[in-house]
Amino acid sequence: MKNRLRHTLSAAGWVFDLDRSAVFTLCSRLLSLAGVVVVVAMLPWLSGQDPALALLRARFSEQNPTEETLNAIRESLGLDQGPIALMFDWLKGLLHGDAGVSWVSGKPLLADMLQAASVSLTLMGFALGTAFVIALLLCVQTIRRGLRGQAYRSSGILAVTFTALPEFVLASMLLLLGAVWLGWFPTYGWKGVSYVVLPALALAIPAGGYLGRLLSDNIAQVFTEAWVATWSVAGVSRWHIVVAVVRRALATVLPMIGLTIVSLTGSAVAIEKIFAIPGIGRSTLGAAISKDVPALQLGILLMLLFAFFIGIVVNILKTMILGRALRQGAMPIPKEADVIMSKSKRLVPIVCLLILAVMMLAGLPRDPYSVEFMRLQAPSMGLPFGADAMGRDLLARLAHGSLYTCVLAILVALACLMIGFLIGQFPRLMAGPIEVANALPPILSGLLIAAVYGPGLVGASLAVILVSWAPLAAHAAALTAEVKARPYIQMLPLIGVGAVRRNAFYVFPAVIKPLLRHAMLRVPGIALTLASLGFLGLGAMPPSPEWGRVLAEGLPYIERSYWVVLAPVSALALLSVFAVTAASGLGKR
Amino acid sequence: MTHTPFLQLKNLRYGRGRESEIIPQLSLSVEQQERIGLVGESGCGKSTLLKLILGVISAQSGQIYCEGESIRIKPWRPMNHYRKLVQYIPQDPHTALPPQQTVAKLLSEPVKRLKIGVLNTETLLRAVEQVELPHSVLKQKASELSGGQAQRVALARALIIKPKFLLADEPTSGLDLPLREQIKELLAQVCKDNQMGLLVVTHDISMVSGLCDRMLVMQQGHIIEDQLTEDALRAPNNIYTQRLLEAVPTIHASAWHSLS
Repeated sequence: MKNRLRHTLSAAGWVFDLDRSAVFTLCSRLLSLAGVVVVVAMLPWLSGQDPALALLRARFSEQNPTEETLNAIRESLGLDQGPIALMFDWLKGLLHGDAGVSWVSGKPLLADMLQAASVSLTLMGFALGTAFVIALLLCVQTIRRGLRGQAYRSSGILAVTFTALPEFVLASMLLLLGAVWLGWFPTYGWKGVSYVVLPALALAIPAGGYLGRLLSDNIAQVFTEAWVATWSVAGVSRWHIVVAVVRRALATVLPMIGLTIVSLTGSAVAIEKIFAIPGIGRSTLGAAISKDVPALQLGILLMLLFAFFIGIVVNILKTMILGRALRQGAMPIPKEADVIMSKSKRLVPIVCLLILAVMMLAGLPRDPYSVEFMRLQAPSMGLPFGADAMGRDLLARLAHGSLYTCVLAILVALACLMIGFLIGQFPRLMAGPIEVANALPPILSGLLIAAVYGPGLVGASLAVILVSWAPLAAHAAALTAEVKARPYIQMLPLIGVGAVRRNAFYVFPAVIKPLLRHAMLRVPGIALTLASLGFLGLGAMPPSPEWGRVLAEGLPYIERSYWVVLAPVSALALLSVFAVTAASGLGKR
Repeated sequence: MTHTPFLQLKNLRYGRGRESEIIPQLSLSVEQQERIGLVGESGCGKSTLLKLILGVISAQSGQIYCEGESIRIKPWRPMNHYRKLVQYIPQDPHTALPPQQTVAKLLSEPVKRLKIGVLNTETLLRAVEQVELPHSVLKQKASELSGGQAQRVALARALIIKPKFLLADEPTSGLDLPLREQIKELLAQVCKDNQMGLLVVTHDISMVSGLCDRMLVMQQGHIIEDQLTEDALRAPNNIYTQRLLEAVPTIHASAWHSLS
């Protein structure tokens, strides 16, 4: 009896323990989410510039900024009350359906923004539908082979690299191919179904490809599990087996599906810009660049709400699919999909790197800034990539751009490594921030930073750091936990090694090497993110030859002279192919 | 004057999680230079008991006394005096030695940290000689050692601290049969040379019979057999011990004859 009582008590203690840790994580999550909202709410104050002056310039450009008029504007905006009051005013306004007025146009924002949001949601709906079709198509083959008892791993390297292209590069390629060369679809606008095809494809191909690959690998993995063989021997129908396998694989991939959908909100900003779609991304981007803070606030808030909503939906789906297994903590850890490469495919990253290096060597001696050629001069022997809209040498611009994008990307990666390592030491405390940073698309953080500091290379780097530390922190946390569990670390107190010495001389050296490798593998990806911010006008400023910038500058001329887009797109595509193949190739070792 | 045993465990309780306790209540006293063999099936709490005595985990309640003094166990709190008295050799030396360190480095670490005498080449050379390893091993990394070598290095690292008592967690289970004999003999030798006590957790009854004067049997966190080895082997108090002894594979002479 007594024993039984003790048993019950200890069981209760365990449950309590579990609950406490869950509550802890939940608190961390809610706090970080609240933190983001507070930052958004305080944007007018954080942006540091005098909004009254900005407002005056924007609305009444004729009027001289006298102290009186400025004070009047400040008062009308309630800016004299300080940041906290401002925040509460804004939040209170939102509850009453008043999101303030635009500093630029002076019009109420909410109706326009909701209109824009509905456009974006339509686009997102089409994109998601297409993405799921793509993902399913990628899985069909795996399932068929799995039923025949063959293990089937990732599709070819071509598919992998195709899905690895950043959306803005893919969109530019699609634009070039589908609208300019083939002429099947309109280049930009939002007037009918034919206008949806290219942007939806540009969003759907990377997302669908990625999810399809992940799901397909998981399905292949599940097919190798022992119960599948048992079931088929026992005569369970193929249909039932397929359903069970897919359900099991889907469950592990679900969180990734959520993250992918959330990251689509970021990608949509670039897509809407390229195809001139009047969606929320483009409005928010415009607001960030023209420093229309209330519009920016509302845009970011709506995007965050969308991300939050997706997160909740995914969680509900997850509990529906595998409630019991989840409660019992019996879920396997999802595996990163990696590409198994044959020998010839190992050459792919090397070839990419070689081409990029040759381009750099050829272009570095040339002058990227001076106008030496005709506007939009066509490529020739002396001018291999042609000239841009101002008559500058594109080869020279790309070569110089690559040089400092690389340096910057490496610096950003190192900063992320340090932050990641430090934060990785407190995994439970930082669970919320890690998740939020993981889910926050870099473009959103870029918008936030641009609103505070104004667009620029430093701001863009900060924005990338703000979200890129998270995977490194998660990795660092896992590595640290693993290293600390090693027997020789556990037994260190026996030989008089204290906690400080243990961390500095035993844990750190064991953790830092794989972490450094991970950080370096992220360099090309970071370079691409920096390029995408540059492309959106949130990063490098003219006349800097940063790749994203060069692409953005060329895009308006795509119909007249394709080479202004072809050269930067090819360079960025090479970089993304390198990023993916090198990462999976090196990651194996 | 009352006699104080070298090590005394009083009412140790350890356990967490929804499982019932691993060690519900355990008391034990150990004399100077006593050599004890601890057997029991997997999961009976042997290794947990070892870790409790070593002070890398702390008991929920109960006390540990060493030479009459109460030891307050807080993992990662310096307890240098106790560390110098009680040391340990692992089950799998490869995971228990930092793989990237050279033998010289990992042998000098405890000398520096626990401040044991002077550290010079002489000390290190003597440490490896004592476990019958060549001097050249000092330059090798722990990950390059063979299983037998690594176990000897682990022993050397424990001995360099000059402990009065050594705990060994299945020290031979990862080794080949001939190596097991060697390690067993080496353990006997160093215990004698250093006047050191020993508590060895093992599945190998021959190790207990050859090395230990006292035998403990654990079952579900309780010590159910505690006698001199000879007596325990001849007349176990407990039916469980008897079964354990019967389970030991022995090759009878008659069987040998019929085979050949």
